[in-house]
Amino acid sequence: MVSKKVTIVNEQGMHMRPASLFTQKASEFSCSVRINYNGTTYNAKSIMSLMTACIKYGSDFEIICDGPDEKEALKVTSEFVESGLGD
Amino acid sequence: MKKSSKHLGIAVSNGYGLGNAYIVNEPDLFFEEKRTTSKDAEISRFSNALNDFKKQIHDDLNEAENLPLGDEIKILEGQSAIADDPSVYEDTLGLISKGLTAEAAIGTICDKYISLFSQMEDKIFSQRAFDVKDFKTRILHILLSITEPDISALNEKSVLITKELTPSLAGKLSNKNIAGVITQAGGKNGHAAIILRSLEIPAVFGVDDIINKIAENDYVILDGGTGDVFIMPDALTINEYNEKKYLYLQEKEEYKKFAGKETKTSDNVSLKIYCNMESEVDVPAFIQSSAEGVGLFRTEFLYLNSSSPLSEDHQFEIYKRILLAAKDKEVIIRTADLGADKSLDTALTKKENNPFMGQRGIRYSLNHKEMFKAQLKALLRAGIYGNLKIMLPLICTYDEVFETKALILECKNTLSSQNIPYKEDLSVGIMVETAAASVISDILSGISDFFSIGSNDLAGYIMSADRTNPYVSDLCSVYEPAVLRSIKNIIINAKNADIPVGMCGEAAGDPLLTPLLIAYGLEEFSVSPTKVLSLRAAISKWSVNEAKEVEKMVSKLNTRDEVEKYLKSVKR
Repeated sequence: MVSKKVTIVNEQGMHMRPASLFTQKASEFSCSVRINYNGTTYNAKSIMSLMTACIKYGSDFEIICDGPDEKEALKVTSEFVESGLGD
Repeated sequence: MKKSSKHLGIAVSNGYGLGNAYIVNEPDLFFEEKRTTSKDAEISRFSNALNDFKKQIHDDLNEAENLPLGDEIKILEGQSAIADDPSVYEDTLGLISKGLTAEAAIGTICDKYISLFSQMEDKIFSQRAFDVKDFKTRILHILLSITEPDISALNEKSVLITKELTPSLAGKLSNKNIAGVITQAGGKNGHAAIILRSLEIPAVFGVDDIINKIAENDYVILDGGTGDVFIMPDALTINEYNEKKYLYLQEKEEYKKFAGKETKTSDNVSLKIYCNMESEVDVPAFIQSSAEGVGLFRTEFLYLNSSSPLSEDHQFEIYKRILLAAKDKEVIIRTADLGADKSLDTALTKKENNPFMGQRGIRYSLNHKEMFKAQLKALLRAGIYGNLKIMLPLICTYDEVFETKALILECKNTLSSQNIPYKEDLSVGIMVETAAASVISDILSGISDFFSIGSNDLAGYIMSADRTNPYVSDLCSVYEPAVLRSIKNIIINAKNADIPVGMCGEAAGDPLLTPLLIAYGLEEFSVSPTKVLSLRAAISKWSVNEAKEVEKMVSKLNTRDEVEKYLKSVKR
């Protein structure tokens, strides 16, 4: 299991479009990808789960990957968040 | 003979429906909460239902692609995303393991998301609640083996009556095989309503207890524009509504002839019809409407719908996209009209006793200069990509315009020093919507590149009446001689200064006022995209001389009732 703290830098926060792009990225990997935000864990492969998290601009959260391709998954998903979630 | 009765519901989709009630009863969605079967049996029931659901959506999507149903496709895609969602799947399996039936498990999960999404203020999220609701209904139908109601017996004289219309049933209707729809539940912005509007099927929703008030085959009339419903009406009412329906359909056909045409009076004087837009979402409607430009693009919603301060770059991208979509058509973007009922800082407006007379529009912007400069710079940069004009809201004084122009100059210098390209010669005009601006419109014309009359606010500020206050709201009428004189004065002062003058309030699209506005010399009428063709038709019916005759008469009238009555009597 590997994890990393990241910060949302795009101004819209984890909105509909960024959330669905993030879900797509996470779903490319076979390991589990989870997000820990404000003490709650969300499934990063689930758009429904991610949207209920309502992660706003400037917030920190932790990405947790667990499984065979966890390192690559963590690298790709955390870089995607840091680059502004496609915004 | 049954007694006739009149009811009122929510006007959902325009048009008149006359015919015999065809009642589709709500299927019984009863299910057991606790399972008596094995866990695996229940899980496979759920998995099978999910697969059937995906198959149905797939078929519906194939069907919808052959029809002009862009809205329905978006709705179907939203539902298919829920069916594919791993959390929804896993959480449902979790509840089944705890002893619930498949129906109870998926129902509970859906209810959780419905309540989460509907609590969110952001409209994009609250819209998701509708998706989940529709998904839940549909998957429960499959689990309980309830087939879609048989509607093959519907004909063009049937009015469908049902408790709540599902989007999947709505998608199967056509304005060829049905006269209209009346329901007991459902709202104007739900999916079923969106689909009915795109299919042009007249509809009234939310009629209290309609199922029990109506019997199969009862004759019924619905007015999708007002929400009126008549059960077993008398012959007089039937005749009246047959006439209305005939005229409505005839008008609709006639308006279609004006698509893509130039806007001209009957004596060939060219005028312009522009569109009002609230957000980028309105771009397709604007393009389709064949309007000659955008007369008002509101930007306050960009701020209100965002959880964080909107950056210059972000705004630049939005403005650029709109200008590119409009091609070379003129686009008037108004700087943020924040404050009053559209406040970013609710704590602040609470401190104001009278927010409509408080820090709103240009006053707010000039008091929040960093935010204002970000917007001005974004506009200057986007100006390269199209035919942009900047408009300032709630102007009362010469100094407010002067100060803004100085800020624009400062922004240009900043952009130059950073080597960022921008449009050098952007027109800067003002909204004339306050009593002050109306009275000194001659002075303001010296510092403005154009005027746009905001008729709604102008009526409110001239009449000193709040249109949201039911005790005084009838005073906020453009037919009031005080408001009409003020509009005339603004247009005359614009003409004297040789600057363009438009109007972007509701009055611009009111066909009763068309001859008056032509006579005053209004050049640009900015209306919602749905009103473009009807206004173009209305303008084509008047010559300038005929309009001037109407104006001469109106100028002699003393009261708003006299004005309205007279304008109705000459309406074409």
